[in-house]
Amino acid sequence: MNINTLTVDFAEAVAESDVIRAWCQIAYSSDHAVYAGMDARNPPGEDDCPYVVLYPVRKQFGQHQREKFHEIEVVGCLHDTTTRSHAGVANLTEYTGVQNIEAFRKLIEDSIADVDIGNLTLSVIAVDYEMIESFPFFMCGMVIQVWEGVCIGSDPLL
Amino acid sequence: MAEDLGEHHFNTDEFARTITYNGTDIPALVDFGMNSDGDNARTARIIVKASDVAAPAYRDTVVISGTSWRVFRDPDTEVAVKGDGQVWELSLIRDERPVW
Repeated sequence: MNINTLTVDFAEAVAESDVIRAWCQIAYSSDHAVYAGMDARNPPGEDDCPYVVLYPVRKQFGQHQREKFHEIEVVGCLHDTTTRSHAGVANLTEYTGVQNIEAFRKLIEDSIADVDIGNLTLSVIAVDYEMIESFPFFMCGMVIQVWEGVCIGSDPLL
Repeated sequence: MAEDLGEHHFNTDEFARTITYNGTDIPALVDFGMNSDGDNARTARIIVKASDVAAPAYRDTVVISGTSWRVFRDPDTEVAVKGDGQVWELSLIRDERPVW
C-alpha cells in the first residue's frame, strides 16, 4: 500500500470521527481540525486547537527485504489553561491538559486503528509527549509504523 | 518623579498609548521592535507604571489595539524584565504556535 494512501486514509478517519468530535465539543467546545502535513514555520495556533497533524516520516523497503515499513507521524495538540484539584487531596494541583492529551491521543489512535488497511498491520506505535515546555499547549506525537508483507513474486519496490 | 511619569512619559497624547491590562485601561509605552506597527509582531515589550500594575504576573492578559497578548516569562528570566519601583518593563507574546 502507498504511504500517501495510508496518510490520507488515516487523516480522513480522524477528521470524520464523530467520537473525537463529540469529545472535543465536551472538553473544549470546539471541533477538532486535521491537517495532512503543515508548515512548521507557521504551524496551527491556539484558535486551531484541538488539532491533529499527520505526515509521512519514513519508509523502509528493498529488493532484499520481505517486508515494508511505513512510518507516519501523528501529532495531537490541545490548548488548556485550566487546572483541577482532587477532592480530599488539598496539596495536589493537576493540569487538565495532562490527562486530556492522552485521552485525545487514544481517540485518534482508535480512529486510525479502525481504518481498513487490508493485510497490513500497525506494528509499532511509539508515543512521545510534550506536557510542560509549551504550556498552555499540550502535545503528543505518535509514530505509527505500518508493516506490509511482500508476497513472493511481487515487486518490493512498488 | 511620579509626576514626571504621569505628565511626560505616560502621556497618551505623546509617546504612550492606552492598553488594557487584565481588564483595566492604563497608559503604557509599547515597543514592537522591528514591527513598529505591531500588525506582524508576535513579541513586544511594554513599560507600565507600578502604580497601575502592582504585581505583574506570567500570562496576565494585555490588549493592545484590539489584539490580545500575554505576559511572557522566559524560563531564564523573571516576569518583569526591569523594575525600579516606579515602572515595570514586561515581555509580551501573542499568537503562540508550538512546533512538534
